[in-house]
Amino acid sequence: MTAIARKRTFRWDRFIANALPHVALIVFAGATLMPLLLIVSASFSDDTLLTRRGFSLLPQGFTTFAYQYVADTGTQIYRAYFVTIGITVVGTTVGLFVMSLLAYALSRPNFRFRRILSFAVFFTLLFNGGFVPFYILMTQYLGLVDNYLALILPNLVNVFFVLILRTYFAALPGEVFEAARMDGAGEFRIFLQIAMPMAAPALATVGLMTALTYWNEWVNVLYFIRDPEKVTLQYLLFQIQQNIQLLQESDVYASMGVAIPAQSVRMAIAVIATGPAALLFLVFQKYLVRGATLGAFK
Amino acid sequence: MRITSITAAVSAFMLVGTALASAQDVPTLRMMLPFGATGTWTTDGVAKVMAEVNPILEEKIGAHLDIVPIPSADYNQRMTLVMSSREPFDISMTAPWTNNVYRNVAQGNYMALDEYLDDVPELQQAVSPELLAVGTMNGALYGIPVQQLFPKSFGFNTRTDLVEKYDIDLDAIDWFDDLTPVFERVVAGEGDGFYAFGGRLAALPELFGYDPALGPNAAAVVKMDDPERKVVNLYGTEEFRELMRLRREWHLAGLTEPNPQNREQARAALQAGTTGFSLDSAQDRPVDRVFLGLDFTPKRFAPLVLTTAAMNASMMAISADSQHPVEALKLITLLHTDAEVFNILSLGIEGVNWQHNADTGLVELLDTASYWPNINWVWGNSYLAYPQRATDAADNEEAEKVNEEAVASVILGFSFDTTPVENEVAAMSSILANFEPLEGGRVEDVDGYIDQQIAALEAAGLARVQEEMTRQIAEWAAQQQ
Repeated sequence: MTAIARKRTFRWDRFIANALPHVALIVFAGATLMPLLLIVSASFSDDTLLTRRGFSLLPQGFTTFAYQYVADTGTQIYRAYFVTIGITVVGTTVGLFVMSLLAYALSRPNFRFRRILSFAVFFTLLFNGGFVPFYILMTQYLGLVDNYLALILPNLVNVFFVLILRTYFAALPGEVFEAARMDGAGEFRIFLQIAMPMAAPALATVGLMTALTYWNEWVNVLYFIRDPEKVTLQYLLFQIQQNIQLLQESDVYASMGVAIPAQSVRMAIAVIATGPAALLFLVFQKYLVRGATLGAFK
Repeated sequence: MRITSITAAVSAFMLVGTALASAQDVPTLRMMLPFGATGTWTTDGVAKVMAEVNPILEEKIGAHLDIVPIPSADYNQRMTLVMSSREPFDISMTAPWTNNVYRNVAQGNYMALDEYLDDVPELQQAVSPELLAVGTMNGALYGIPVQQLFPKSFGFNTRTDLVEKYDIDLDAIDWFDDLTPVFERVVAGEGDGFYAFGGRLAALPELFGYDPALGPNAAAVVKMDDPERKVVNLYGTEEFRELMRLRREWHLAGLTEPNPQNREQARAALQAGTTGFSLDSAQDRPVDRVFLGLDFTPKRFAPLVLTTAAMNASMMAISADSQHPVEALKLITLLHTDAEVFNILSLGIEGVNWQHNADTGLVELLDTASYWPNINWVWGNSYLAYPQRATDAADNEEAEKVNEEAVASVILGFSFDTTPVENEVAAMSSILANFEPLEGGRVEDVDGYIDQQIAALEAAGLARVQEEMTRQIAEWAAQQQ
């Protein structure tokens, strides 16, 4: 009671000490947000006005033409969205399962081939055969041309993520596993019902990062997909942008008299491509902050 | 009953057998092509067009075709991998600017075609000796160039409404210095924020009448009408200095865009109407006069000349690993002689992908979603294309006239093999970027700056490059006789 009743004295020094970091952080957050807002604003702007006056926080001559231009690539963009979501869901689910299986095995001290398997896994972190052998393997031995597997397999296991998971599994208290074994649980059951739920923060982090890798997939499309109906969103957007550049630079195309909203389309592409990924980030944010320190564990 | 069914089964078996045998006899040619930036296609659409063209090809050249369409923006990257992984193919589009023909020839990726010329006599009737000379590198024929409008015309274009508004007398303008009063009038008249043009000057070798044997690098060029074929450095000439001083004057007078602009930005400014002139090429053909959605009037400065660079912009080459070079060469020839095959490949199936308009006789596109490569300039003889626009006939006539009017450069057919001086050329290329502020008018001491850049080029090995070019030109000239 007395504490509440006590008259609060306003102290400038304390106020400033509190306010300064806040102001600094607000300015920093504003500086971070600003480019994003500029992108959104530019994507709704008239391209001619953009060239004349430059970028601004509010759209200049509000128009959705850039989005229409992107949508006019036909049903392709919806199909590309579908492909991207498909490989993201399948790739992340399967990848997470495979990576945690591998990491769990590597984390168990009683696993006999632990050393040799660890070596085999981490060796690939330091050395690889280079791109041309990879291309030959994929196209000539595995025949993965125009196949969704070509987009899923290469990113299925990321050694660095395996390292994170292994570290997390290894840090789990051994007594829990002992107790489970006493109760008659087999190794697979321990993994599935004990280790996996306990590693949820690590799985969420790795899952998000894997999902982002699949979401941003375009390089493997460039090399292994020839059917325009099987391309991913990022590749399609990359291609639209490349084509705009080609159209603007070459005389052959310039003479066709098409007006291309180059700058606003570029920004619309950025919004379409990063929007869902940014939402995904918001959902997983709380895990990510916790998971970000995971690599620091022993 | 029983006997007949057995005979039927046997004959059916035999039929299948012969069908299999004949399918095996007809080879399939795999052709790698960059499909256009504004083209669209589906795997199914391409397969249908192949099914349409293959019976015709089987009859005419005894082979089937399988096109692998690659988006033109990815073509260079994907072909590099195809080559380095030795993925099998028979024919590929090649050029100095994509799927680099010189690199591929140096790496032995293409087949020398000279010994097959006798097997396909029609080729030499359909393709001129000059063109075959352009496709000849290191003394052997590697590429068959397409036939299209060759000489580019260099000068400048003015937005037509400005020509009318300011009553600009284009006939009175013979060189860039005549443009100064015109720029002054237009810039003053259009008011704040308007500039005559932006960006750097382009195509300088051609504007001054030189053959750009080293691409955009004007440090080793040959005057197009010099019988001595002497290799010179354009940057060291007085005419270049004069033009740069003039460019600086325009900049100081506020006539040109003060900020640096790349080609794309310069185009965007032109489109937005903040500039009104483009100074590099003069678009002669009616079809070219409308670009970026605006109408332009061309004025040509330099005479029309045929150069290797203008003629080898698109070629077909045959893989060194191809098992069917004769059939491949026959197919390439067909694309120079056979309108039916050309148009099935370039437009798709009549009645499905396109139709003839009954009144105008022009091609109307129906289904461009499943097949529309939009690359008439890649196949072969582009004049075989069925007209799509009412102006096409006039354009082709103009193109033919221009092709005939053009004079051959003294080194037409010569391609500089940069491999012996690769390091020097690479070092010189990095210095080229330094000419950007100069050609943008933003350098104060024009002469001092040019001297400085020439010294840098010399340090990078300009003399060695010029010597090597001189040697190769002499060697090439000796082969011509």
